[in-house]
Amino acid sequence: MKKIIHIAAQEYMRNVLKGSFILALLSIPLMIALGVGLALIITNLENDSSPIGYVDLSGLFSDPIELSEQDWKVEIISYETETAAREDLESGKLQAFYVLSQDYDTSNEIHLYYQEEPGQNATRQFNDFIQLNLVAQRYPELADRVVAGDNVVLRSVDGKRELPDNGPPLNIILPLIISFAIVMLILMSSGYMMHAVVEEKENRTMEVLITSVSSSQLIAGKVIGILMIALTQLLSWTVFGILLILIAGQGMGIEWFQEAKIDWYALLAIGLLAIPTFITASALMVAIGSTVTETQEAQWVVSIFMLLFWLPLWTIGMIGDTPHAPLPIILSFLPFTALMTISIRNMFVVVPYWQIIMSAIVQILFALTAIWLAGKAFRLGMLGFGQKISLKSIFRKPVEVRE
Amino acid sequence: MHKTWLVFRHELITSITRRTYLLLTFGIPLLVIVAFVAISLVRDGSTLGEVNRIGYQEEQEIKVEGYIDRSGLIEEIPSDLKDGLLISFDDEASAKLALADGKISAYYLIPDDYIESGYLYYVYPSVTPLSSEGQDWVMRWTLLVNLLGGDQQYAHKVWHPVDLEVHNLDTSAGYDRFSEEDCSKPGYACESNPIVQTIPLATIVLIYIFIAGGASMLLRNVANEKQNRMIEILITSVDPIQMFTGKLIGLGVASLIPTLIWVSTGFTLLRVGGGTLNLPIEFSFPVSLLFGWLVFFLLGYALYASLMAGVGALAPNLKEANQAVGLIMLPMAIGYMLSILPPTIEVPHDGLALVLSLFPLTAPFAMVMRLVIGDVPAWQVLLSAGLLVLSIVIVVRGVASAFRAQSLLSGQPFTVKRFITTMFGGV
Repeated sequence: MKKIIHIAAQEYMRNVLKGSFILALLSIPLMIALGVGLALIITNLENDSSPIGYVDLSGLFSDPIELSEQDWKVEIISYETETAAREDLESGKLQAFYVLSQDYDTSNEIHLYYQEEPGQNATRQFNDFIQLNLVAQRYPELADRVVAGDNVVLRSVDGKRELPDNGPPLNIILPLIISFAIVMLILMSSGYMMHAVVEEKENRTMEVLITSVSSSQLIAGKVIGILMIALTQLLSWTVFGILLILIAGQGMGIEWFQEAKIDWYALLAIGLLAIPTFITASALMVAIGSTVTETQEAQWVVSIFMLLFWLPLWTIGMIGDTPHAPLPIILSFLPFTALMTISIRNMFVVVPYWQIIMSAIVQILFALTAIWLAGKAFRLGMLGFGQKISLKSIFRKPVEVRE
Repeated sequence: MHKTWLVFRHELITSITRRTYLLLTFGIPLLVIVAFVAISLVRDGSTLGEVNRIGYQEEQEIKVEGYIDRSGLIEEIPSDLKDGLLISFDDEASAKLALADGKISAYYLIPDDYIESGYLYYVYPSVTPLSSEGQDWVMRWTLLVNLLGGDQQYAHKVWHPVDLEVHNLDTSAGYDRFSEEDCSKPGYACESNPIVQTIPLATIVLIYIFIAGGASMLLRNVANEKQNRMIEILITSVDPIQMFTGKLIGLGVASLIPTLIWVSTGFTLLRVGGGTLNLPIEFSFPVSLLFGWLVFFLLGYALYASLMAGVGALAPNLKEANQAVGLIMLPMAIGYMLSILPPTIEVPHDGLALVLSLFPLTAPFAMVMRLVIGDVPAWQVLLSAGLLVLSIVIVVRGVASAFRAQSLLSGQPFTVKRFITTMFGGV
């Protein structure tokens, strides 16, 4: 037991103190920060807060009312003549100006003049401004209601799923983000697992190690060490996630983050599938690490695993459109794709509990097979040291040696 | 020269006869062709069904739906909606029953506080955020007409208050969201064809893949030969510069072959393909553009491959070389990412796009993106290519010093400082 703890501690410290680990630890927060940053840049570029002007030749809006406060508010200035508005446009005071034609009341005709494409907020607010004043002429008490528009909430027949028309809320996306983080974690941890086996084979430390510890102690120590690394990452990401939700929701008052609720059903599904998937991936990495002789050789095998893990993300459109079609259901049972597929489907519909349980059973069976395979490959790897081990030889029945 | 030729020939033959290379070069285009043929066959088989389905949809465009009005707002159904299209229910249970019986396709629940909150619940059998099958506009229109006292003409005016006519006073301006569609060249101006819209992005992705792939091949090659001590034997008979040049050109040609095969396969498929994968008749891909693409691809490859070769020559083994690759990949990834951002593609000739297309490390991506969209001043293209050539000359001189025997055989660990000083001729 002491030796296992010693190996686990050594494996943990060796990886955690590396610069690449710190980078991996920061990768998810950095990716989120990068995504948010890019979204902010794009929004900034699409919007423009400088004023817009209008010339009302129809005379309908002689005493207009202003729009209520909103994001990216644009000042709307009235001009007597088109020439005056054009002068301000050319001097850069305005980003664009509108001219309501004389027969606007019957034709709806409005002319837009600009030198550079006006911000999306500006054109939207002018549209709202016209709508507000049209309604206010007859029903001033309803004007704000009409301009604000309807909040259409899509609801499933059983009432279990509700989706507002301005995009899915955080609690629906949260399980997918958690699955994404867990897949990243599995890929990183299984990578450490493979390196732990291959590197020591490559630099011949394994030969020395195996003289003082048994192969099962060695593997157990490494698995525990790497599991601790994974837990460290998971803990730091969770803390980061909670901090982000608290800062954005409570600190910055962003409504979307304030609605964060935990969908326990989706979370339970993730837990049931993540544990066997983690074991399958780690065990298979040990098997691969035992059969190859060099790190480089093992890397292309890892890239195939990565493709399988990300496959559901590439087909998210198809899964979202037809979450109960045969292909999404098949992907929900296959190892590696199950975790992400079920999380994506849970985002759109409530995946039947029997499918989650069946998938978890399938994942457990795969995990057990992978452990058996890893054990066999590792023993063969020890025997045929420095040699490449074929898949065939792993499944071959051992020859009995009679004394 | 003869030795350079020998190295070139050896690198080219060894690269192009590798199984993974053949798979990448021919396998992927083959897979695309098979998928394309399969899609075409499926589409051909279902054409009639699709036409019929569209015809049926036109007849039955608006489905019958139900509503439960708890706000008491709805007094009449707009006359422009067919009779019986919206069925009123007293409670949700009876609406659910009608939904289960197939009498209605969905129902709306209008809460008591609709006027204050604006909330409207649309109970729909298949709720997915990606689904656009709903017709909630029917209820929104009905509610608006009723809010405005049943005056449909007035409601129409409020529903669609602006009939816009656009005047762009800057005659030299490029495409914006109010512009008319233009499908004669690649870019966002072709709204009806997603293929034409995606071409600038696809071109940059392709150039990134092959520059990164070719440069990595050279890095692995140099680092591998250093690790297995082959380089010690080689430099006894070949001058390091001759060796480097042979490798650079050999692997460059090796990475150009799949690029050309991919591009020509893609272009042919788009030309012969039917349905949505077809390019518009007026679309043309000028030869000058292909030439520009090729020039910036080769210059980009030469710059990045030389930098990678420098890393390979200075790192003591493949493992350390792989760890140091990030240093080279970072500017490449930044250039690529910034070039595919919508603001850069939508405003291709100013600000960020202009700077990126002149800076040598990002120019291969940004300039190609600008060339694909078109109307790049000739002086900018020449300046960008000139700056790239100048950078290549400086880097190749640096790599040449790294390829000297004492650097190749030193066994010192790779450091950023040592790499930068070597690249600028410090060794």
